[in-house]
Amino acid sequence: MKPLDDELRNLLRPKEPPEGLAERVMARLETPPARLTFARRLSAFLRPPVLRWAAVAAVCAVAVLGVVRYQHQQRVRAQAEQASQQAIFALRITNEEIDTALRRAQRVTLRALEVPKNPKSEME
Amino acid sequence: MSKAVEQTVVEDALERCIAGDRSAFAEIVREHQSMVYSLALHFLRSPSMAEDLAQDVFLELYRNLGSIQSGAHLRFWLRKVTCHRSIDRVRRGHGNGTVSLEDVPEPAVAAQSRDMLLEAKLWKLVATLPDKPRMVVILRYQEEMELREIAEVMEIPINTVKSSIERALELLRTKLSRSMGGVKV
Repeated sequence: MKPLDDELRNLLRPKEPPEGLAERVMARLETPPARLTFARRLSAFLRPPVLRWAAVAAVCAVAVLGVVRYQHQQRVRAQAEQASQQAIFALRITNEEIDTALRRAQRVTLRALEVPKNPKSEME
Repeated sequence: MSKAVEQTVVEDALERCIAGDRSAFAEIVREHQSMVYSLALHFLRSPSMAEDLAQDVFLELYRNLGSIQSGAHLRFWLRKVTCHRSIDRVRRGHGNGTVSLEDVPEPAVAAQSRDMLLEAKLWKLVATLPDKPRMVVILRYQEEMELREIAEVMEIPINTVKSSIERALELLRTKLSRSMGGVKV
């Protein structure tokens, strides 16, 4: 058996490229580069792994911020609703108390009107 | 064609090409296509990906013709760009397919006696090497490059090249001997 060096030299000796490779290169030189779509431009921009991970991290950060903000808004809305319920309840109590006070004032007024003007003449 | 004559032809084509002669560029492509394609093919193990990469490398060369100073520099530039683009492609998840040796095109230079079984095993084993040591081995045995030249092309220290080759050969020898039932290679 030949030494490994010779085997590798034999295995990795230059190969013939497919027919017409040079013509295809020349044809590509003639063709103006196609306009890249947004998706292809984005994928080309994100080709380096560091940028790809940075983009993933940015998307995750935006998603987390979105969730936190949504939860905060929900909490504020719930607090506002609770405050409004409490205000309505307080107004209802106030309303009832005003009603009671008015009724009491009416009774007192009526009783005052029922009292005779000259009790002495009545006795006579 | 002797090396010196070949060099003169390439340099002449390079001069005409820089002056705007496109047919001269086609000559340059034809002169170096086997080297570029083979480096990519041995690394990526996919004929279609290797051709695609070779085309990209030559288009990049056309855009950078102004920076090429000589025939030797052109050869160095092509090797360097092919190596780096090939490694990039594999790292991006393309290439390094599972093409068998039968699907690989015929060699440009006729082989001597061939042991098909051994070649097939070696082909698979070379593919299991890590990216950079694999490229170092390909440059060493395909292009017959010196360690210093490999270090310059790969932009790594010469000692790393040396240790990569030693380790890769040791690994290949061990695995090959194991798969051949203990036969020493």
